[in-house]
Amino acid sequence: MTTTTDAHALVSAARDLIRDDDATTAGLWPRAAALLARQGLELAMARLWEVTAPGLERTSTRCQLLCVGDMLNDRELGGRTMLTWRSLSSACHHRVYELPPTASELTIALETVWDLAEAVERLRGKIRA
Amino acid sequence: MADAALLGLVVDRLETHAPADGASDLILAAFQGPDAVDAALQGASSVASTSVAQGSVKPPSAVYLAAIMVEGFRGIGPPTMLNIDPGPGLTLVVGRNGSGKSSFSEALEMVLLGTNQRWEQRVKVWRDGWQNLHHRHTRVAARFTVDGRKQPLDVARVWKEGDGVDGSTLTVDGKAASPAALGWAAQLAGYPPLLSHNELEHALDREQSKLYDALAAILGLGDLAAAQQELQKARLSREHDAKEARDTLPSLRGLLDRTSDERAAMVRAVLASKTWDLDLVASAVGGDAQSDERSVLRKLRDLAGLPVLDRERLNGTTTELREAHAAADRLRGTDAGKAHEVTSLLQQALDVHAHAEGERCPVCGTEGVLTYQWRIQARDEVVRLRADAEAVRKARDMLGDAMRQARQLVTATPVALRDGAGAGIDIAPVVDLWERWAEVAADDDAISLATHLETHGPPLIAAVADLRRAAAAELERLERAWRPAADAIALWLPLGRRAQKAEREAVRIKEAERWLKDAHDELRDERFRPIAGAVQENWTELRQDSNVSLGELRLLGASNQRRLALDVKVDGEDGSALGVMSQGELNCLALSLFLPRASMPESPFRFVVIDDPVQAMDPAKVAGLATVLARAAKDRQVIVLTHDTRLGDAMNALDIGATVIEVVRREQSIVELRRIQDPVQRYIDDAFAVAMTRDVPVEALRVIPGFCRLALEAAASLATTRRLLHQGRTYSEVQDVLAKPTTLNMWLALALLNDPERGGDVTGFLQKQYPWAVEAVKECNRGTHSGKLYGDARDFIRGVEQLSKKMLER
Repeated sequence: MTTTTDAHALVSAARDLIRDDDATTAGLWPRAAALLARQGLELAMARLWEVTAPGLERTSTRCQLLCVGDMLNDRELGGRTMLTWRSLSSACHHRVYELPPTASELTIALETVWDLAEAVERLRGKIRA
Repeated sequence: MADAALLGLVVDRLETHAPADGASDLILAAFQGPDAVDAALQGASSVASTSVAQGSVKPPSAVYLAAIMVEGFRGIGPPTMLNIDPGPGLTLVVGRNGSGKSSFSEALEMVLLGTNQRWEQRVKVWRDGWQNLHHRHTRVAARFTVDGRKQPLDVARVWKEGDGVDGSTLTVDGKAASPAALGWAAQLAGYPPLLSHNELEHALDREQSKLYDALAAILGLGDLAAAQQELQKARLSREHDAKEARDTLPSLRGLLDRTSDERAAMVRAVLASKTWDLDLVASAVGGDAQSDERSVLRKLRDLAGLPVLDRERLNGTTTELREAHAAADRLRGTDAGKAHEVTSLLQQALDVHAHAEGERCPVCGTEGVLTYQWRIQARDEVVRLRADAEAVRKARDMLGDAMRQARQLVTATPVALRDGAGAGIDIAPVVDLWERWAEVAADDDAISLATHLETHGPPLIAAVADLRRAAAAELERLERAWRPAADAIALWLPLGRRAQKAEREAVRIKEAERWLKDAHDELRDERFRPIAGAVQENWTELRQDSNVSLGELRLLGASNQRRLALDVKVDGEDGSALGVMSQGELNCLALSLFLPRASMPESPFRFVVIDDPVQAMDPAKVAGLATVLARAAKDRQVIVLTHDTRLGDAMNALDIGATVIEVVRREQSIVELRRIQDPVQRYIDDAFAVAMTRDVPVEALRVIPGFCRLALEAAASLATTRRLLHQGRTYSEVQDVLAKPTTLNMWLALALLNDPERGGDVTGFLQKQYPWAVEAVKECNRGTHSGKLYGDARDFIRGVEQLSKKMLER
């Protein structure tokens, strides 16, 4: 299965999951949204490396995350990305004692992913121009 | 009326442990209220009203919780229903803080108790936030099943638009009802089925007496304690009366001290003795005090009542004496004796002459002398001589009478006068006069007697009259001086009598109180023993590796001395009570204490709702808690609200069957509830749910590998936990091991190869053991990040499910 989904689409899908009162997603939406958000975050990073540092995508996630702030020249966003990835990651792995994230936690995480994706696309636009 | 079974025990005990005389009635009266106690003290027997029903009390109908429904209350917006299987068993309601799970227990509390004190104690912000922000129609309800009732029991509270938190209407089965309609008030207080986190946390901070009350309430000895209080009240009121009388004594004593009257001394002496002879005091006030020989008052009273010589009688007697004497004097020449003899002789001669007529004297023989003429003369002579003799006899009698009368007048000095010295008045002149008056010689003739009377009588009469007046005046003076004190005593006397009665009654009450206290203490110890045992058992389970052990648990003392004796030992050394325990340990102890209380057979509530007991507990204690709850759940419906999965994980690990309900809150306060079998199945179900949804957006499918990976990790975690516990490792050790893996491969290495560091060997292992699973694991790892799936989603999920099962079977 191939997909042309970009990070913004994933964030929107995750937001829909949180917002919609849908019986089929009842109960599973928090982790599903977290999974989508993390995928969106990783997708945005991959697109960043494409134009700034090809090959970086093969390094550890931790290494990549440390580079985000510098590459975008936005340390604040880099920090937020790091924190968001951590919280999403713990929702996507089985952790003893961990319950799914709450709607508000997810909303904040999705905002960061959205901001990151936008910053990446802006940079790509600039470089192309 | 007191609990019949308890009263039965008391009646039995009255026979086996008989109290002092009269206390039995008082003890039984104490169960019937203050009027009965008063009556018993007056001597009325209360036995009539103690037709005691023996035998056990029927256990109340069992009440189980079937559902809690919440709408627009606290964190819950649209109507949400928490269904629980009515019956014994364990239900976990798991949700993050803020998910709305606590709103269910708060709703239940609201249904059962309304806005009670606990609400009112809360801060304003909290009280104002009772209604949900997104949903302004508020209704909370609970459904119960009650043994012997076909239909479930629906209890609800409804608010109309604009109502305050206090303004709810209670409905039972849809109809408005008063809280009393349920008839649960006493049991809700005695066996509270709701244990909030707040309560658990602060249960042991409370004063000793509160802790005592919280536990003592379940022993069913309330009536016994109430009876004790009834007696205490009665005793205190009597002691108050007695004190009131005693408190006025100093001023009364002061008054008596200032009063020189002999009665003051007497009353002082009476009041100084332990038992007051108040009749004596009363007589002192009345004035007719029984007093001894030396009493001044008595002397004065006797002197004032000295016999008075009647002046007329004195004069009369003197006159008679003199007249009799004169009459006798006039007859001095008459020989009454001779006249009498001659009369007899002449009479005999006349008699002889009447028999034998003749004129010859039979005595001298002279003829012709006893003629008719002689006969006439002799007869006249007899009459004359008789009259003479009579006159003499009369005069003699008269004189004798007069003498006797006169001597009678002359009496000896009366006792009152003889003893009258020292009464504060001069009696010497009268004594002197009286002694002279009494000095009459036995052979005094009439004239000297009359002269004695005339000489000594009048001065004595005058002197006695003076003395009587003086004595009376002195008496009056003393009486006037005594009156203020007497009035004060008279005023005090009713108080004193009441006090005396009160003190006697207080002694009797004390006896009854002592008996009741002994009975209470013995019954209390007897009834508390099994509870203390259950607490001990719970604590042993909950303490786990805590170094604090619990000694004997006892309820001690009464009234404001009552307390719960909690002996704590740290590493075998006596510790300073609860100060040595951590908050987690305190919570455990509180739970140990209150679970047995909520599980009493006397409670109709077969459910107990515990809100977040695991906060501040370390993992080992959580495992202990799981065991304790499981034990309670054997015959009780135990519902536990918890903010993380620790308790659920512990139950899974220990293979404790529980229904787990997950609470998740979306935006707009939409709260969703899901029953979860176990975490593994939940992720598998989630993955399937996404895969099976028709028209699912393509983005959504990307979450399937993520759920599958979560399922495998959860299965690895659970399999590892069970294996290690089976090997005898402690729960804490297991938790340490479970903290290590950070990737799926590490989890699988831990579960399959017993070593999280051997992640690189997992694929090889799988190829040998479960070749069909290799691709599924790869898809998990890849797809979680990329969201890409390379095969059929359902086949993939089934593979993951299969591998999870294999891991758990190992």
